[in-house]
Amino acid sequence: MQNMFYLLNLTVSGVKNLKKEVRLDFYKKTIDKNFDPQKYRLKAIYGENGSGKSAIVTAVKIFQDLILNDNYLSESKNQSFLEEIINKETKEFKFNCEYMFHVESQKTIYNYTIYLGKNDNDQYEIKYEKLIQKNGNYPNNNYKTIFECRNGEIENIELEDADKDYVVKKTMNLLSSKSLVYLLIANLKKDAAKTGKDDSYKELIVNIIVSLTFVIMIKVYLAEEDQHELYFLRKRIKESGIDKELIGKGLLELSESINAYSGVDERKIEKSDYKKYEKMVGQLTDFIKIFKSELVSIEIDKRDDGDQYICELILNYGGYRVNKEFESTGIKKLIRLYDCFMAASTTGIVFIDEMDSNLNDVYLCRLIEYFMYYGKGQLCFTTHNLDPMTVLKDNKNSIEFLSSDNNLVQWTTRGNSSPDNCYRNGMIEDSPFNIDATDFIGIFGE
Amino acid sequence: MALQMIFCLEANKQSASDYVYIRDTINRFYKLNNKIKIAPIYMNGKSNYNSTKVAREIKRMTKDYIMGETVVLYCIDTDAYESNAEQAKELDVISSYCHNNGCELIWFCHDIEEVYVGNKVPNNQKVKIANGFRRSKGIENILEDRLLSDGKRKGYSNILIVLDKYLGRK
Repeated sequence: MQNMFYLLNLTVSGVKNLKKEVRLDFYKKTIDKNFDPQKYRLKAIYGENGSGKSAIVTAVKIFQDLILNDNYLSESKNQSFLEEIINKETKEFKFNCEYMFHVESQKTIYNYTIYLGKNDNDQYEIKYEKLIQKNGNYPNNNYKTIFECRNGEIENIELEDADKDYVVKKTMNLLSSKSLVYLLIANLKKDAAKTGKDDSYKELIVNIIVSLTFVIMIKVYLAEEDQHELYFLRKRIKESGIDKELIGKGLLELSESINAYSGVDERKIEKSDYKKYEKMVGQLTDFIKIFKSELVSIEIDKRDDGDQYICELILNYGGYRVNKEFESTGIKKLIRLYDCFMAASTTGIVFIDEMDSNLNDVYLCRLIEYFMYYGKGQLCFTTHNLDPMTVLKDNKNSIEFLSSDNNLVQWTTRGNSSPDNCYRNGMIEDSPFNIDATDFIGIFGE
Repeated sequence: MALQMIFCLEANKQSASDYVYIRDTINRFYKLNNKIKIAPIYMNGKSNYNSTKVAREIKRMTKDYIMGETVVLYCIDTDAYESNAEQAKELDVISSYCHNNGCELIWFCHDIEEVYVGNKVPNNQKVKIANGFRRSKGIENILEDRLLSDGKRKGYSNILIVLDKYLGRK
């Protein structure tokens, strides 16, 4: 499968203690015909406890949920979550990302922005959403607006009048609670995107499908992760009668294939996906065997439940079998991370919070080396483990230090100094680590 | 501009009670931010102030700190400088060394415990006493004047005079 998407940068603010904007760059400033992301695909974010590393990953998850989950802002549990997670002072969540869609030599760069703020009822709602696009083959090209919404109304959308009326009618009173990207897919005009029909609507829908597929490509690992329901959106795209040629057969295949990679750790598996799931569990077995050579197989204990199977994983060690739920914390973590690693090894854009927790240092470094030399996707992770720096320092833009006052400092080569030593000794800008063993005198002990 | 402050302490790392008093002083009186880096060097005895090992460590830390300036502060007990000629001479020599090498001299008369606890403390009790000082928040009860002395007097220090040059007060 061709890697069609590349996340170029993202900027977030207003999550947890991230008050100021933090921008992560995943490539050089300029995109040209010699685009080669090989040395930029990996990024490790380091920072003191509470510096906001997890906040960045959480922001990506919120962005993804806002687009893929139609009821995200309507559900009280999500409102409660946002109440806790959005910065208590700014009360405003801001997310912006720039991503590239490339097929053969054609590169298109999209820039998406979404802001959340509070309404009169003290609930979070979408205050602003914008999608712009430019041709990425030439660095000096200007952006063209695809749509722009402010305070629940469409301010600007590139459509002919009749189509604009249709979109305005279908999205009326909904734009504060749902993203326009989602609403356009949910309200696709049947057959309207066929070749030869209305050009501006067709162009809009193609851009929206590209953007939606990009969002689906992102995989976020947080300590407590909810599963997304992507079936509805995928079904709408399939039912819309969009010509495969119009948006590229590869993109549709990519969108469909994501399901197969969306969760070896999931319990409910569609019967139509079961064969793919079985294959995935086979690959998972090979993966876990690297760490536990005594593992013989991973068996699927499945129960029939209408169109789905309820599945449990049982790890067979020859003489005994262990339900996945009762496995060691480390093995359970590896099983959960497997999907992320699979995505990062192929075409996915993966964010993992605290990748090192419960993972042996040596395993961690070998995994990172694998992604560095053999992976095809993007992998951005937070960690406290300094060992991966020795591997990542040979890459570009791959080590970032986040300070407690939200300044992101990128590692740049300093003669013979190693990034881990500099960091450990407080020699990275804004991360002085003014902590000493004597600080604990009087706290512990008699 | 970022600043690294290297505190050269008489103690060794296993009995680093001096640093408890110094850090409590900084935390009570000064605002710290991410542009200030504070680091100790344990000299393992006052007489090692100009040892190769200490000099090498200062040089390495200064060289590695590329974000800004570095200032070296020697934290020295005056000991019985008034009555013991040898100790008075040693203090003079260290003072000259600091002056000639662009370092600061923070002195405690006659020693750091006398300034912060009010009396001398046997070596084997130093960590225990520092523990109690920290736990009882003893720093809150120290009169500021005792730490702002420009002349040597029993139970006094110039620590705030020196630190005021580099750090902003709370």
